[in-house]
Amino acid sequence: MRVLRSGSLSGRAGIAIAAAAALVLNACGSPPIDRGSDRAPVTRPDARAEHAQHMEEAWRWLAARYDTDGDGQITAHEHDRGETAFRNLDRDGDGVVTRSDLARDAVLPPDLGIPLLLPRLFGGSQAEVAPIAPLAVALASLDRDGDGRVSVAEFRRAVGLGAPAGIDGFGTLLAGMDRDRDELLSAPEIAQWLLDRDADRDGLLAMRERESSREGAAPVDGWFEPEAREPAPDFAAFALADGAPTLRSALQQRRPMALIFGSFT
Amino acid sequence: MIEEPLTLEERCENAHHCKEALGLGVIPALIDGLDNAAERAYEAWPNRIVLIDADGRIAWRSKPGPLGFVPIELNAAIQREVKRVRALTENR
Repeated sequence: MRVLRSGSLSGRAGIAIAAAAALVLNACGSPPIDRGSDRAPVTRPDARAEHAQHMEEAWRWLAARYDTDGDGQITAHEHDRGETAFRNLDRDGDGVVTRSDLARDAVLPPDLGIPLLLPRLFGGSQAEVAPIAPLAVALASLDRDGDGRVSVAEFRRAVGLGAPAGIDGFGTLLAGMDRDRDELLSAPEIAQWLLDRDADRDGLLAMRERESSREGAAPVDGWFEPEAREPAPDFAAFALADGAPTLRSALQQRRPMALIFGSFT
Repeated sequence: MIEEPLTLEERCENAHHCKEALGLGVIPALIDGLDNAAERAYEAWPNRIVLIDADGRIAWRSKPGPLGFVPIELNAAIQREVKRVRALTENR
């Protein structure tokens, strides 16, 4: 049994950003951030070229679908899929979507992008979570010139080979953390965002904060012995085959059931 | 290209693409409503796997995806549950 919530990643950020987010995960076969490096940011040439090809295909798809007057640009009126979706595509904020927008690196929604990027930049490609306190210190320590703030140049110098193609990592951090809008990151700004993001107060930065965390509660993932098992929540969904509404419990009857929740981008 | 669906019909269309692209023809698919009730009930975003026993209780749940989404762990959980139920049956 598979429950699909189609396009959840793309839904948060539009087509191109979803592709970029996927590339974050794919690109993170790179080493953790090198805070001592003076190397200019480098991404594998083939990754950049591949990304550029994807964006060109994305532009052609968008233009065919939405550029109804064929003038090479898509207006909000032509796009007509909501303000958020349009804003995510209009990366230079000039009010129209053009090929050049897709050529720009994407700023991910910070609530999604920062937990995706930071654990992997500082903890290695397989890091899903990162402890907040050392993460805040590590990010703030990129301040090479000692002015108390991390600039885009200092960040990119440190990221080195870990820069994922198509993603504006520093822009994503700014979108979440830069409270005073000076396009720099201070230690207090970094710490505040990380603390605010840690809704379940477990001291970790993760993509998803546990909504049901309770002190002393049983673990929420893994195997559960029979005496510790909780009832599986029931829900109404729609069969893909015929659109008929159905309850999970009605489908299960008295059989074991596996639910595979997925997103598709 | 996949866009954020604005209607249930668009969500179903995306799901059809998903089934074809991933070769999931044999697995029955359910589409969560636009209120994402199933996703919220199981804290399933962006992806997760859950095994429910025959009594309707959660026997096993994966860590949150994407990195926690490991299908082979479902296989191990199923084997463990089968073994548990078989032992119960034999002991009666």
